[in-house]
Amino acid sequence: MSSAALPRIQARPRIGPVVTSMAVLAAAAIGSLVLGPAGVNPWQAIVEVLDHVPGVSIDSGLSAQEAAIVWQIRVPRLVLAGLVGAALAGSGAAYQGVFRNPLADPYLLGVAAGAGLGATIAIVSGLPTSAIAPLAFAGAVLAVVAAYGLASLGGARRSGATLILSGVAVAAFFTALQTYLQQQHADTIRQVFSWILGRLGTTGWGDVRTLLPYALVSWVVLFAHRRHLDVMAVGEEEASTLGIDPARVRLIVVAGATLGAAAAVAVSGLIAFVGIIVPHIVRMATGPSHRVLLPASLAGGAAFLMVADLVARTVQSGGELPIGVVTAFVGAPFFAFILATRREVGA
Amino acid sequence: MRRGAIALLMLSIVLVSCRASAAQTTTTTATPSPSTTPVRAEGETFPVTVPTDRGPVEIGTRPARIVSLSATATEMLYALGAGEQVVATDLTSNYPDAAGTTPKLDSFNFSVEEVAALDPDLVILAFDFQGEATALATLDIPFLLLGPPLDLESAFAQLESVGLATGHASEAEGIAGGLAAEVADIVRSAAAIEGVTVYHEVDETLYTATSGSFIGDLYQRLGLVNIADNADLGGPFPQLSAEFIVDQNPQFIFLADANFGVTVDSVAQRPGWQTISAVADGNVIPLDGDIAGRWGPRTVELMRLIVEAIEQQAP
Repeated sequence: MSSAALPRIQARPRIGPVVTSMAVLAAAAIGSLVLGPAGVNPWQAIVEVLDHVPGVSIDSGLSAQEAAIVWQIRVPRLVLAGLVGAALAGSGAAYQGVFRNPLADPYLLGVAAGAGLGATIAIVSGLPTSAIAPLAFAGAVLAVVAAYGLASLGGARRSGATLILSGVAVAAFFTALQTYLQQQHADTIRQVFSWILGRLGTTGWGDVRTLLPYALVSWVVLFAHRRHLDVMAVGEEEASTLGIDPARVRLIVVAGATLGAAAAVAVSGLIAFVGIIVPHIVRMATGPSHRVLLPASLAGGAAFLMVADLVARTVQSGGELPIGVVTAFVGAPFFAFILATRREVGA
Repeated sequence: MRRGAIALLMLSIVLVSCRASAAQTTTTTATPSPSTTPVRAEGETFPVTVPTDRGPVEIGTRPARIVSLSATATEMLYALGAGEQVVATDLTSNYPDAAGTTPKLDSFNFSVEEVAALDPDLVILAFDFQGEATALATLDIPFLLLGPPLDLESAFAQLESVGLATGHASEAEGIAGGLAAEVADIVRSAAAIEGVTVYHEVDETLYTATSGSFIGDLYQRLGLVNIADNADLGGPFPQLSAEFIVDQNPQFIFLADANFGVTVDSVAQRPGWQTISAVADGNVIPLDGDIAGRWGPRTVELMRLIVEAIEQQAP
């Protein structure tokens, strides 16, 4: 939302929305655990998970195969959906805050284009599947670094708008390279498109382990700057007079947000909509203070993507819809509904 | 995102086409190469009217400069002894060896001008993604559009179309008849493996083929039960979920993506897959994606290989 439309920062952030989003998250997690094409007994599925809690040993009575479905397929999948959703929504909230721009999302500075290029390089050069995530991550980070470098070429400390425009240029350039490579290697085009559409991996706990450390570092950085973001919301000049260095805060927050978004994209491909919509929905409920907005966005993003994935996994018997299709198909009307029913929102 | 929408659209197109696009780098040297059929049937009279996917096409004279933009059509041409009439093939045409050394075009991304420059008197296409067929028609270049068939009979009919169009009608008839007889033999011998459950993997994102597809038709003829048919998904090439496959617990897994780095080991390492019978019993069978992705004369080889793989393991 534009700076003029930002409501006043509340003195005491409301805790309710955070609790609510945690409750929604818990419900989404349980739903994802007990529902799936295999028709495993829901109660036994829950017991099977409890059995894996350290120090707990209960026999769920599931066959080896059903146990594998629950613990090796469903649980890592729902955890991954939660982590990716949280990382994208958290980064989206941070980008929107630091740029004071309602259209900002985690892909603003070229994360998507860079990751797409990295993944495409991995795929067309016939590298093993395990190389896709590291190269996508490297490409995403490289794109943002390039955008930053381009923005600071003038030497002077440039505004956020310069950075955004640099991001546009870098994203266009990386996308051009990616499209060229893809077009030169028609034999692998389907793998590239599968990746671009976004997919929550089938590698089980491996993706979770890959993403978790980056996501945690990202969240720690963002949380540490939640008050700075609140101050920046009143405008860069005003923030300066309050003793904040906007350029420095922007650099750190963008770095933290990029880390989380790049790691999420590296394991899941380009999942649209979560990073831009979830923070807006949450902001409508919590108000603009990042002290509540950030944690509620993490929980909300996690819950949103878990539900979207649940829909993706179960709406067709035996198959899956691309997760990106579900996030936009479910998310867009939902967001439109929220917009239409919340008249005071200026964005 | 617009990008996502375009990707989705392209994905659906590519899915339909994937089997022919499988551009593999491995060269197969199975079966005696049919590239040099000694007997040239004389007296094939032109003009002929050839059935194609776009209706009948009239070919005025015996083609001497054929451009094949379909790896399957290339295999058919060489099997029929029309190899010396071929002047260029597409990038994925790697069988027989002689086809690999012809000038190459990218069937997914070629300009009609570049085809016209080869001065062909017949072009064979498997796909018409961007209106290339219409452009060829505008330039009065005769072409056959022979896309992926849905069953063996249609594949044999394509072989006969290619034979008729190139002056090798009698060879085509002989080969198609021979192949049909072989298929009948294989199907008879497969009675013992009836009811075995199979999962056919098109790629590692778990795209598969139902009995409604050409490859699925082969499994069905052999009396095998394709787990993809139990999913309630549209189209001949649906994408399954890992949970569904583990739950279906197929007895055999056939990997048509083996040329893309999917191995017996990598399948066994997928989470939860160790509990699948096929994995536990060592019944994960890599296929040559070049053969499994085409509908040429080597299809019969593929059927035999499938039957043998199952018979060897069956108790």
